[in-house]
Amino acid sequence: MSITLKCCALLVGISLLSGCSSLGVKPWERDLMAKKSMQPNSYPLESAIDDHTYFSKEASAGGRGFGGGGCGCN
Amino acid sequence: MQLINKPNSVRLALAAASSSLLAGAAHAEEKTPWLVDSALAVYSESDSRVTAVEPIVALRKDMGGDRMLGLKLTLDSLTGASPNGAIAANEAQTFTGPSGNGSYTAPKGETPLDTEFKDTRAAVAISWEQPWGERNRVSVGGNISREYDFTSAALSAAIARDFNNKNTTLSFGVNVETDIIDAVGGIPDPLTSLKVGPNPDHKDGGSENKTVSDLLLGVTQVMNRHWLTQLNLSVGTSSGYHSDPYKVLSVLNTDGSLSTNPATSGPDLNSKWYLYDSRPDSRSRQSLYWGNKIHLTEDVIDVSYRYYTDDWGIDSHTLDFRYRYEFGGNMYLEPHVRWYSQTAADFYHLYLNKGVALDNGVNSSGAASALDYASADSRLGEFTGTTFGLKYGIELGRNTEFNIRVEQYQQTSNAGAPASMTALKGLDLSPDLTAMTVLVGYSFEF
Amino acid sequence: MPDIQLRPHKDHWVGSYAAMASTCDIIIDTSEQELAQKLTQIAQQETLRIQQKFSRYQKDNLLWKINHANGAVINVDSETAHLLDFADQCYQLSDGYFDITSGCLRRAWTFDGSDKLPSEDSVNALLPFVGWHKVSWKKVSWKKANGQKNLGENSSLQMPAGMEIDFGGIGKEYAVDSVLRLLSAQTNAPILVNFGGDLAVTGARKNGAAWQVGIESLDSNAHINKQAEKILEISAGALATSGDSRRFLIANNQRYGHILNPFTGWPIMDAPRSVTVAGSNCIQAGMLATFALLKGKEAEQFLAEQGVPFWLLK
Repeated sequence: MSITLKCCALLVGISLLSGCSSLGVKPWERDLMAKKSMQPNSYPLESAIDDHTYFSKEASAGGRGFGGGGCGCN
Repeated sequence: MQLINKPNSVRLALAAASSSLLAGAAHAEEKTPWLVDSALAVYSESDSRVTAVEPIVALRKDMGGDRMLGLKLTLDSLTGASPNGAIAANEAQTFTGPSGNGSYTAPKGETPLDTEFKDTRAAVAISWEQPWGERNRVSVGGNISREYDFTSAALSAAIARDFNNKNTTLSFGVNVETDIIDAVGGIPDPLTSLKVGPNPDHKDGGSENKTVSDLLLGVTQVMNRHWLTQLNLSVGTSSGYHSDPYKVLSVLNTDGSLSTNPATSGPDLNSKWYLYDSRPDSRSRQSLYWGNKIHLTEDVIDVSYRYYTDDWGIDSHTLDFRYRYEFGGNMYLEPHVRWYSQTAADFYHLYLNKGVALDNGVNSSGAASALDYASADSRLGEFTGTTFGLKYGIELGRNTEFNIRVEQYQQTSNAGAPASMTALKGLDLSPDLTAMTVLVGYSFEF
Repeated sequence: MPDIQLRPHKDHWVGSYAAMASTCDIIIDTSEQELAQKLTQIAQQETLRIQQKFSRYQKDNLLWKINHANGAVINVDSETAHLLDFADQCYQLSDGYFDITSGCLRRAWTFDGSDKLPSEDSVNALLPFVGWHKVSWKKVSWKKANGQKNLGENSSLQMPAGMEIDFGGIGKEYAVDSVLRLLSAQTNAPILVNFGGDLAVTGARKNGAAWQVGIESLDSNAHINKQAEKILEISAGALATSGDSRRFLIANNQRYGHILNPFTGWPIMDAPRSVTVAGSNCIQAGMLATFALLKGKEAEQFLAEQGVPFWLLK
């Protein structure tokens, strides 16, 4: 399972990179990307609290970042 | 003129150069303030179970040259009662608390809750992030977390590199964490019987530890002016003590009634039989996260999916959707829906059957040697979790925002016992968990 | 602080002050006098800051230090580094025609409408001191948290003795953009910043309409008849004008405009007298207008290729 998963991710990653000619914006079209609400993790404390809560209630962790952890709610 | 491939490229190149001039100069004038981000979360489970109060404050400052120093302090105070792993029975159940002194009783038909559950956690994190050449940013961080029975220390490092005119960012991160568990009343031997009164078999004053390593490989891609997408692949392994020293499993007779401890003498004679939690000493997990931010005319959609799998047999899917509705006056409302579903770990058991294997396998110290691992921790069972939330935020100025969010989380499991276990008839063996979280956030600069 | 004039109009306020050899108008689409007053003060402060920092007439500023370094290496601050880097890119983009070291040619030329051409020798004597490629510009750059490139304090410049640079071709447009950016962080009210025809707006007016702008130098009769200025509409971005229909020499039936060719030291011939260009910001618009003038008789073709709105006065 994990090997398939890795391969898929790599393929998607590579296709993202190689498809760049049509993707992306010019530097002066970054107005929307510059907004706080468009940052990948625009509310880091909220994410940290959520990660911690879900880490203590669910078996999965991480994904967006390293996530959860650091607590004995094992 | 190497740039003049297209006739209008001077205009485009000048637009780029001028916007970088203005952005850079804007930065040059700024006095760099401390950016303060603070939040307070109150988490409360229904049926007077766990209540948690978690304040966090994070500080960030540009120390010049875009080198960011970050400090974060988290406090976390838990009170209430937590399930100890045993299931509800058709009789009252009494347990000795982990400290070996007090005891608690679950009434007939109710899931036993450990009322000694109480904890305060304090964590400090420090981070440093800086440019490395024109295209890279590197960051390092450390984190120490302490509660009375648990200490954790972690180090992390990451590098992010830009490609394609900064439309693509590749990032790679490493996190290493070491945990020390110093359980109240000592660390019990796995799958041994829970004793009545202080447990002389517990490793005296012993502590156990665990090491966790994670790697994260991420691609962030600006798809167009409105759409940012992110794909992360995470791989993690941990080794060491993974069991929960406070959790037990009920041992049931074939009719579903509670078994009696096989002890032939001493205080455990004729007591009910519970075995301590036992988990493998390693775990390896992978996850794939796909996040998207889509900017409509004014509003922003945040939608993500995560697939998670580990070698304990747990697979999970998480879907998360947020819609940020900008309703003017720098205010927004953000409804949030999250759906989570996981399969059970291979060694998850709602309870253990007092079968032939278990009976014959019990050794002199009461350990069920025929079983390697077993846990009744509901976190490792099969369930579905749904979250509904609503957030309101108002931007009060540059880097200044107030927001409040209310969410409800519900965990539903269908785990139960077969009809042949007549003693369990009519009992809710896997009651829903419902929790409310109120989160207040305020960020500002000074 | 020098004077500010604040005038109420039907549905907006106009704050004015004198700086950078122009009248600087800050037009604020608001009915609040207090806001208009505050914004105009901020604008004036920023304009004077830029003027003092980058004027070649100011002694003891960084520019003066650079121009009197006598061959020594001078470290510059981040803002100056950004301007120098921009000038460097403009030099590359124009194949060397836009050159911030060409200002010293003014020692030979005086464009007073007369027929007094300088001698070839006096121009040639200055040419060794012209040429950005003779300057050693070392920039220290890094990547910011938001992904943008930034330039650092430790960037440095080293020029052969006798050379000098000036930001005359960039400074006013830079000030317009900087002032607009500062003001737009203070209020949501629509604003137009106009420094003698170089102007930029935050967006359309409150009622959604475009701003009406009169550009004097676009009409050859404008200095005779003030009413005859050309009216343009603008609801986003900026306008900038380069050229000056009053700065020229006439000799041998030839009109010598004040735009000089840095390679020859002589005026670019057959250039339009004035060019106005619309762009996304004032610096870009201004640079496109300047580049067009440097193209001489190909100015119109150049601008048409760029796909920007423009107006020429030939």
